[in-house]
Amino acid sequence: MRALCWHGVQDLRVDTVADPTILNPHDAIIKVRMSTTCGSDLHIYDGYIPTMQEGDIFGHEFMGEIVEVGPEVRNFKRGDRVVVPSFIMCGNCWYCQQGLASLCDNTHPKPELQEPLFGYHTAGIYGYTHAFGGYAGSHAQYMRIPFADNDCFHVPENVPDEQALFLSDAAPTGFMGADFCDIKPGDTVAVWGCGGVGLMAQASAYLLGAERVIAIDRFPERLQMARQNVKAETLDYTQVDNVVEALKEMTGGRGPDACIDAVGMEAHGEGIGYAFDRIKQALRLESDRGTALREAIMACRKGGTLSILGVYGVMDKFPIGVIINKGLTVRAAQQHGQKYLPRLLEHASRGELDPSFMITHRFSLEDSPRGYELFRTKEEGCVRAVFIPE
Amino acid sequence: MQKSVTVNRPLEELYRFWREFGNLPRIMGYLDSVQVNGQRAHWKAHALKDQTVEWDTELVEDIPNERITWRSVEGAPLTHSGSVHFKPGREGWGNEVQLSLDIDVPNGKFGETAEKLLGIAPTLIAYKTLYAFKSLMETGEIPTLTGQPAARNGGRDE
Repeated sequence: MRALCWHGVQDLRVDTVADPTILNPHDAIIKVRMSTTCGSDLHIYDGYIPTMQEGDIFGHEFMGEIVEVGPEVRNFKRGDRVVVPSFIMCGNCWYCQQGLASLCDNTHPKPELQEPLFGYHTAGIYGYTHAFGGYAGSHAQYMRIPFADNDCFHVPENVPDEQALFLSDAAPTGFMGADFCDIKPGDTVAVWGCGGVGLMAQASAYLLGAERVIAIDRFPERLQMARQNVKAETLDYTQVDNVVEALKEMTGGRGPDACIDAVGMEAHGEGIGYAFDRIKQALRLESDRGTALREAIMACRKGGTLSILGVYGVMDKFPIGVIINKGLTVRAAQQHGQKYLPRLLEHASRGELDPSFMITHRFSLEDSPRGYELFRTKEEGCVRAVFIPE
Repeated sequence: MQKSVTVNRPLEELYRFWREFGNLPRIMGYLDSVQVNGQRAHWKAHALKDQTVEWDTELVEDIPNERITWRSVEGAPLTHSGSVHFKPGREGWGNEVQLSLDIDVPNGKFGETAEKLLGIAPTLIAYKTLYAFKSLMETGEIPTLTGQPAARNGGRDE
């Protein structure tokens, strides 16, 4: 089959590789119908997250159609249209039973690589480095899905591929971020980032009862999406002297009740702090540029909630003292998508959540390297590039 | 080296798996086979390319559902002793399994360490083994990449 493979920093190529086969009894094979770029891929594309190996198939946000099932798969058959969260859960361990899919104990093939980094290992994920499991990714014609009964979700007939696609990652990650905020009537939620995850976090905050949602970014087309498709208020950080002050002015001096970071380690920003981060990151002295996270910590009202969805490495100069003295609650995770998928599929089926507006560019799999370059530079207003294998 | 894991299966089941040493190659990837002969066992590991290393162990202690201990007999090219303890764990999580492993290459040529011989650092073996064991017990399979597609080795991971 054909697949988009990682060959080095900013070096992706479409190669011919073997077709995936059933390797374990709970596996299924799907034909990928749609696959998309995720902001977190850029950290790998740009070389800030190590342990990709040359020849790894890239990508982790996708949907498709079952073509083959292993002997222990009960709930799916050939032809079923499915969406699959990017973290793989076994369904049996204590973490899975608590709905903490990305913390599954049993799906990381190389747990000994991750334990020294985190103290424990996480669940495995598709197309996202060997430290995170090394599973073949989704930018391919076919894919192997372990524990298909727990990880595949039937897509209702009235939910098109374009909507189901984002229920693989952007929507459940955004929804989880809003769920972390424990939203009460009247709450204001500020969201840093109007990429896929940020837009979904904004939409989810409304679904969970927020009174106001403030979306922060600098790209006009993304802010426009937040206004038009999500009905959020927007804040262009290049148009204000100070984001924290601007947010305080928008909230009567109180600050947002909850702040969601949907940006991560390659944040853009302005001023001396950003310049310093940028230099250190370029020299690989630190892996993270944390402008958005630092702003979120400062802006959040006292006793509020900080919800972190952006992907980070091991950041130095982290303002933990601000968190302590302001009594913030910090919630963070990689997506526990399987917990939220049934609800999100219902929202989509009832027309309450349609993420398809985020698709700005479509490519064949053969042209997918161009899709990543566009997505990285954000040229032509690229929010999400979607790949459609032949 | 010593590591622990909690596994959500009955104690007897966990003990039975370990007591049958022939099962161990399933959770210790560097082993080819373990053949049991009474109180002794013959272990075979695929060492460096095209090499195998073999050694014999004897059972030192066997308390059902509590503890199994073994050690290599004199003259083995790779000295190896191990002990696995089983005890009831926290409600909802399962039972605790503690693995102690000691692996050394006493008369190895210069640089012929256990890591070079077995292809994995001995300090990583216990964690990897215990989680492979947990996955097998809790799900019936061990997560694997062997045979998945990739643009290397002719299109597939070995």
